[in-house]
Amino acid sequence: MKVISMWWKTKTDEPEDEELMSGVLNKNHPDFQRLYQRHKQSLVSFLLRMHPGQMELVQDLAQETFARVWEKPHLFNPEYRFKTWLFTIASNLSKSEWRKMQIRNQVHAQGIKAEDVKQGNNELGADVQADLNAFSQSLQEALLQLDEAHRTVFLLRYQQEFSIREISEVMELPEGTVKSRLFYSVKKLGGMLQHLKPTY
Amino acid sequence: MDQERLNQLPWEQVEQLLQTKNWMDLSEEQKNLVGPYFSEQEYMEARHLLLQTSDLFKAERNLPQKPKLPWARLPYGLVAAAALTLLISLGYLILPEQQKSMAYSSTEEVKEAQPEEQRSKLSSPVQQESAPNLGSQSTLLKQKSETASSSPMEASNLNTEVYPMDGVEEEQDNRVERVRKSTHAAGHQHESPTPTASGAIPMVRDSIWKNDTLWLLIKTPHGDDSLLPAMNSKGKVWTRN
Repeated sequence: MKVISMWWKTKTDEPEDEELMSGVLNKNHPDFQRLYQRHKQSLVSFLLRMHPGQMELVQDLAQETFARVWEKPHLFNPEYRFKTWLFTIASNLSKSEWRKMQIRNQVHAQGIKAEDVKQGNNELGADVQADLNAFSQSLQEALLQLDEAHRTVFLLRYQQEFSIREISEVMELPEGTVKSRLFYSVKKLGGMLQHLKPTY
Repeated sequence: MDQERLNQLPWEQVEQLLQTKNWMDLSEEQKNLVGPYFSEQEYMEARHLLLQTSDLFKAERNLPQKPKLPWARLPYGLVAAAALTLLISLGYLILPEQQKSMAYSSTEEVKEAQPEEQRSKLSSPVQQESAPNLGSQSTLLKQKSETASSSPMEASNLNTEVYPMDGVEEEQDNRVERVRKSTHAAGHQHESPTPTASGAIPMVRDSIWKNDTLWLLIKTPHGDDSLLPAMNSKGKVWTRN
């Protein structure tokens, strides 16, 4: 019981992102580092789905995103969630990178390796794991069939679990447009992946 | 589908149904809600997509650290040192001061291996701090003395404290602040432009290990301080693990 109460105290003592940002505004390095540790994994996961198989580019984009947080913390509006702002930066960087790549015509369809998913799911049954591996690969290929705007909306909603309002803030779009893009993405991806019905 | 109907799409409700109910389990009212947007087959395809996507992304969030590759098992200091030495030798970086905390192995051995004249250089005030074990001690010494001689005012303002090896972790935050102050003071007091002040190249003012990540305090060509995680040639952040 004591352990639980200590854990709860520690958990509730954990400062919110927005509180840490006021530290970053004063160039408080530990606060910045805490934000970095807290969000780097989800940011890299998002960027990796946007730019599959390009880990170096993804790392660069993630670094650039956090560098901008450090260098321009005054641009953060505390009325919004920090994560929304972070992904706005990342999304914009990703978008401009995507445009560059389109110009260079160097988009390669490379999926996330099946082992990436396999490693994290030792506790899952073999059938479920096999389904997820196959699904991960196919989803990556299907995502590349969507344009960059629809892919971003889909990932922000279902990978990062942003609300529709937050997505509209990140992408500077009306909520209605976000909804219709989600509808279109889900319908199209569902059709493309209909051969991969789960066995569980 | 016409735009007017799309604009009225109750996506949150449709999405919730997709995530929770098969087509067969929908009430008539719910079928009327999703009917304009999905056929039965499309509905079930979308449902499978959302269920699998949810499982996949949950699994990805729980990914453990990958097992280390052989090259990643190299001592972190060696990798960092090699990269920094390369940057210094190419002239991209200048290290006006080095810190004892970077050294992961005994610097005494390095000192003993040096000729007496080089060791005597270490005794000057600017060079009190022992350099990190960067592989090419002589390069760093040369670099340091060049920096000191080209900008005496800056040299006099450099942070010359010697930090003990023990308690380095606890000292890091204070050290960053001290270096920042020292950098700031140096920037205000000397008139002659340093390489950084002239806008030529960025300058590493300090480097610290924090939570197993290597961070560099860099003075940018514009004269600002910037703290960034150090990366290897592949763009990966340097970590101890």
